[in-house]
Parts: sequence; C-alpha cells; structure tokens
Amino acid sequence: MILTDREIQIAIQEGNLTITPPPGPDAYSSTSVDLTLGRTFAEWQAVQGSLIRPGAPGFKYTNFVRNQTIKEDDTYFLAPRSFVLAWTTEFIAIPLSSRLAARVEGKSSLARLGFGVHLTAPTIHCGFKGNIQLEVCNSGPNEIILDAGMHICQLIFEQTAGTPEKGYQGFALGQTPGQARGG
Amino acid sequence: MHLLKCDVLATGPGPSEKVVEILTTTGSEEVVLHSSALDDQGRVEVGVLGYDQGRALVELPREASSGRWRVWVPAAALVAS
Repeated sequence: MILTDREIQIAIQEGNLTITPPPGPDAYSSTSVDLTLGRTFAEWQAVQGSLIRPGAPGFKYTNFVRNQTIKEDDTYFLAPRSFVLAWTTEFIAIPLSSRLAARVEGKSSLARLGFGVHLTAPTIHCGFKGNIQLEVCNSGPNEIILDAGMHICQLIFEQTAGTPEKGYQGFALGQTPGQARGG
Repeated sequence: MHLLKCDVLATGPGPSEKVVEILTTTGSEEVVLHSSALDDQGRVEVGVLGYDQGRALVELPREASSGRWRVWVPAAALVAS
C-alpha cells in the first residue's frame, strides 16, 4: 500500500519518519515527496588494466576507493553517457517500528532528458538512516548541469505487512535463528 | 539494538558516511554507513536475529560490500545497548 501525501506527513508528525530538512509543501505530490540534490559528488576514475571482481572472496570496497574523487560544489557538469554518485540533501530515517519502507525513483521531467538517478537499487529499507545515495547517469547525448537543491528524485513510501525480524530482538534472544520469530 | 565493535577504515564517500570493517566468524565485511549508526565508542548498531554455538546472526545497518546484509559474528563481541 502506497502512502499518500497526507499519510507521509502524518508519519513525520508521529515520528515514524524523519526527513531533515523537512520538505516544503511544494515538495509533495499525491503519492510521493521530492528530495533535493546535495553538494557532494563522487566520480570513479577509469584506471587502465584495473579489474573489479565484487563476487570474489575478500572483495574490499576500500581496495579500489582510491580511484574515486570526491567533489563538493553547487553545480556539476554531467557529460553524455557518464556516471557519478551523488546524495540527497535530506537525511532520511525510517525506524524499524514504523512499518514503512520506501523506494527512490526518478522524475519524469528529468527522465525524458536521459537522466537516471538510480541503477536498479531503489529500495530504502525499514531501519535506514542517512542521506540517500543516487547513482546518477546521463544516457542522453547532451551535457546536463546539475544544481544543488534541484528536485532530483522522489520517495515513494510503502507500508510493510509487519515489523522486520531484527525489530523483534527481545523475542529472538536465546533462540536459534530458525526459531527466532516475532508476532 | 546491539552494538558491535568495528574499525573505521575511511571517511565518506557520502555526507557523514564512514567505511567500517566488521569482523565475522569467517573473515570480515566492509560497510559504508551513516555516522549516526556508530555510538560514541565507534561501535556499530546491529540487529541480532539469533544465536548458534557461540556465534550470532546479525543484520547490518546497510548492505556490505559483499552484498550481504546478514552475517555471523562472535556472540561475545556483542553488547546490548
């Protein structure tokens, strides 16, 4: 079940959802709330001969993070057919007890330019806290200028059917994993 | 929630994020997480799902570099918060 604008606002008021800074009234649509682009961008540098094998035992993100350049700026020039990591301005927290999860999605106004904000990883899990990472792609033929503060993506909230297992730790303690169940 | 000792390997890449390493019963996992998931002693919040023969199955605050959310850690390494 997808939350409407009213239900998102009620969830914020009741402490079942934190969005900081809080979105203004113009950030909402009937069933979503827009988030804005922050000032941090992380570029991957191509290194000749470099191979990334994420499925290998002992794979470490820190082994290749040296190939990443972090930039802080109010604007970012996204070349055609290029990729950059960015983050929302807003800090999001969805408590385990909230029975909420969310999906970050693009906006049609940007999508028609060939602009995508995530690469198959849209789920914001119950229990999440942080600024949302965006995997930004320009699939179009023209350079796109990104401005910090622009409406970059939308969050769609869904009600979960229950509380995740890790929210029931009091029940799980002392039990084997196969027995750990909450109501 | 429970707290689990970890080592902070790096700052970033996102706002207020850190890369931490968590020791598991079979090796280690790297996780990029928000600083608010760490307490003032640098321990990470995890959810305990169960125990088996001195080890605990925990859910990490975010997906690890290996793609895993749930890992086995030494039960003795956990502190109830």
